[in-house]
Amino acid sequence: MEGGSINWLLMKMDRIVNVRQYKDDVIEEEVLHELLHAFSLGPSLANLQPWEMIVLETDEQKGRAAEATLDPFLTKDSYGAQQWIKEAPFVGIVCLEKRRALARLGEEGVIFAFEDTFASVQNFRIAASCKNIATSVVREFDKEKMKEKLELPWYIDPLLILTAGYSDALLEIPPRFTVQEFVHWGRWE
Amino acid sequence: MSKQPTILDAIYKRASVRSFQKKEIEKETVIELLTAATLAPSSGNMQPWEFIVVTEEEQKKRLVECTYFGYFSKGANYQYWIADAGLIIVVCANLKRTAARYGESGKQWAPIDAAAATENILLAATGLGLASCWVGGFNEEKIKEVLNIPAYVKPIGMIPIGYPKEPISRKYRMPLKWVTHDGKYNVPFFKENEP
Repeated sequence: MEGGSINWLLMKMDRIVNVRQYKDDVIEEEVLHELLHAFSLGPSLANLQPWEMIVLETDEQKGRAAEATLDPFLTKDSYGAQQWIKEAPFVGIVCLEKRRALARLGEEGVIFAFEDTFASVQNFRIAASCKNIATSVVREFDKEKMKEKLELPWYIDPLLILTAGYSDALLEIPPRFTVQEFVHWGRWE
Repeated sequence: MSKQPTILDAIYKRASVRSFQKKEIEKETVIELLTAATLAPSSGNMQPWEFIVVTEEEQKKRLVECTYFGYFSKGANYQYWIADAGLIIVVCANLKRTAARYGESGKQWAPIDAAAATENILLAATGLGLASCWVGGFNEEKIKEVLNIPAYVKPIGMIPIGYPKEPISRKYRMPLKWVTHDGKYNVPFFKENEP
């Protein structure tokens, strides 16, 4: 495949959109392992790999995480707004290990750690899309509430909820800028 | 004008002390000791040290039961004296933090960094008129259980700290000529009649 067309990959990337309805089928263990492996291949500043992931395995655990979610406008006290995550076969809470993120550069390192972790999340989503598995990223939740619900120690910062599963849902693929629209060759104009 | 104390004063004065006055150590002092610890060097500035500060009497007793006196006794004799210290800092190395950056070898470097932090605590304590002793004779598995330490964190020393009961005396140190080589191994650095 090397040197060949990557149209198939671009098509898979295009299909990465938030999906909130899943079939009941669980993701096969080895496939899930591949997706998590893809996650682990993300780049990180000084190879700090600042991420950790809590995989919610029971309905009860998923329910607790759902209680910390907020609506899309982050309305205060809109707790429990995203109950749909309970129906996802895979729910992972992607977190930062603050101490690993802070060690080398302090607070600026934490910003890089966020960025690095999102690259890992995208790796997971690309791998999932290649396996025809739909995914979603949910950032609308109350961090402190989530920490409390999942009994996370003070140095673990939940960043996002990553859901995945097989789905028949119609994908809402959004319009994108063309390359000409956002690339400025040589200078701003 | 009196001579300002220097770092060398603390280095020369520090010795292992195992009997303490029954006296609490102020929180500010604890913070000072911990701050000194965290100023130690570390591989890639990963700062893999972690500190478990034990002041509660019951918990100190549980720590006593993790110790053994003399390497081969393996718990036959506990080091009861550590419970008399106002505070015990258990210094740990977070192996995962350094390994994230450097892979497996990081797991060997993290305890070295934690050891540097430990020496900083010992020197800072001396400078503050406190005394301490680096206790390494403990059952690692047991202490991990008692303090709820996860698998990837390695306790490397218990440091009981308190106000010394008796005057401090240092133990014998080998003259430098036994531990020094000139340019390469097995070439004596000190000639005849030097210290």
